[in-house]
Amino acid sequence: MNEAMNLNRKQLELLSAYLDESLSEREKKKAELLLASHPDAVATLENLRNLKSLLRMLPEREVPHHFTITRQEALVARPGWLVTGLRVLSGVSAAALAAVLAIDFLLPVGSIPQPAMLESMPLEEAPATDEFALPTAIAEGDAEIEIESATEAEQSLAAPAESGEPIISNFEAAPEGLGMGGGGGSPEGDTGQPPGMILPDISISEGESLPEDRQLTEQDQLSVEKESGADAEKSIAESSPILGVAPPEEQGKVISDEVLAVPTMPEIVQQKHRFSYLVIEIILLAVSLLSILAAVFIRRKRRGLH
Amino acid sequence: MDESLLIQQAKKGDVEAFNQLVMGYQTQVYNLSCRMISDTMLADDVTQDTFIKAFHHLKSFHGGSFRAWLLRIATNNCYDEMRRSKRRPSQPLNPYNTETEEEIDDPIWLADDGALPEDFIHSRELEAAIQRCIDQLQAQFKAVLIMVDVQGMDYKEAARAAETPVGTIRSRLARARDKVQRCLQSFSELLPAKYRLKDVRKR
Repeated sequence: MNEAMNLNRKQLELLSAYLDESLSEREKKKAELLLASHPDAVATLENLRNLKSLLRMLPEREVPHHFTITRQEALVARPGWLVTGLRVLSGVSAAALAAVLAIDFLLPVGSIPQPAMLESMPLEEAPATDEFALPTAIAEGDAEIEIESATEAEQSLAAPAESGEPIISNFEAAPEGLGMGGGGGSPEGDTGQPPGMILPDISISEGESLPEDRQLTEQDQLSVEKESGADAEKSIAESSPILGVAPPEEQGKVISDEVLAVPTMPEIVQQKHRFSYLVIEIILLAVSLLSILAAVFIRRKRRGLH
Repeated sequence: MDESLLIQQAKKGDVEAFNQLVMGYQTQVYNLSCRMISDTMLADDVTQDTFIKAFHHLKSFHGGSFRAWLLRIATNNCYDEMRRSKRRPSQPLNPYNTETEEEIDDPIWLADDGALPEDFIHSRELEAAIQRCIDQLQAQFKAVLIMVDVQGMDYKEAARAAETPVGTIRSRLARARDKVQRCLQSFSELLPAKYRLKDVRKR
């Protein structure tokens, strides 16, 4: 091996730079100290000096020809800032167009973010239905259910009367657990009546007796009807359209397709998005084509001039 | 003519002024390319490309050493060419010796040695040996060694040409010299007595 075995890399670097006289005064003193103290330093420096001389002696090769450039080489290959700029513009436009198309094709339309609904916007109508009836399976057993329920109701009304406890009951016996409308029914079933029909309660205080055969007097019926009508209006006014329940007078009507064809909010928003995407695509395509054509035109003109 | 004036005129598009600069530096650029890529044909292409690029980017030259700026372009072109050569390795077309029916593996051989004196042949062999050792260096080390030791540039100019700090040049040069020294030990019989390297270990 050579001197690299005896001198570390830093020492070798120091001697190499010392040979080229490229050291600061401080480093120069350090190198001189190394030369004086290290037994291999002088020989290493001598070898470096010999190598440098050897490399400097390498013959210079003659050029095979002159490398002067012609006017054509100077001008034709010169792209110029305008052509370069147009190339960049074309590239950017093409990339943007590709991005828009990718978004358009890859992303499903439904994934376009929807703006929050404003109060002023028309609310989405629930699909109308012409039947407001019980499910078929239940409807088939109507008679039996009603009979059973009526019997139960009679019993429930009669029992408290006998014991003299106050009770609160429905005006008309209704099948329990057969809720109507949006709720879909539940065992508790609230009133168990179709929506919009508010049943008056009959409170029977202690000591009072039920009218004969549970029949109310005419006066009672009138007051009940009056009361139930007002409550029903109030209920409809306060009811939420989300339930999709039409007022009683509207139920069972056939709604025409024209009415149903009103576009919903998401559809309107999607259409707007589609339109804006189309406009962006057209603009980008036009810019890309124009810039490419301009670049080609300028390049040809430059070639023609020179 | 004054170099800075020629540069100014060339910046304005004066090809003739630029060609005067080319005449002044073409030998250095060509020799750097030859030493870097060891292929005269490729070196020719690299040199021509260097001057064309230099003309096109002359406006980016803002003073300093024009030689360093030019050699930087040449060095970068050489790096590109070396990378391309690595991607597309090719078998060099070595000359064929009709007498021995063997390929002559050193390019030294392209020279007509029919009536050459022995000293000249010896020097060509030595040059080939040195070039072979230089070829074994990594591109960055090779560039620094050629610029400083072969072409005689100082550290600062070499640093500008290589776009590296002076400290890096110093470090790379020391390592390059060390590697070439090791390599040349196997060619010691070719070296003149005064240039034979002293093996420190034997001392």
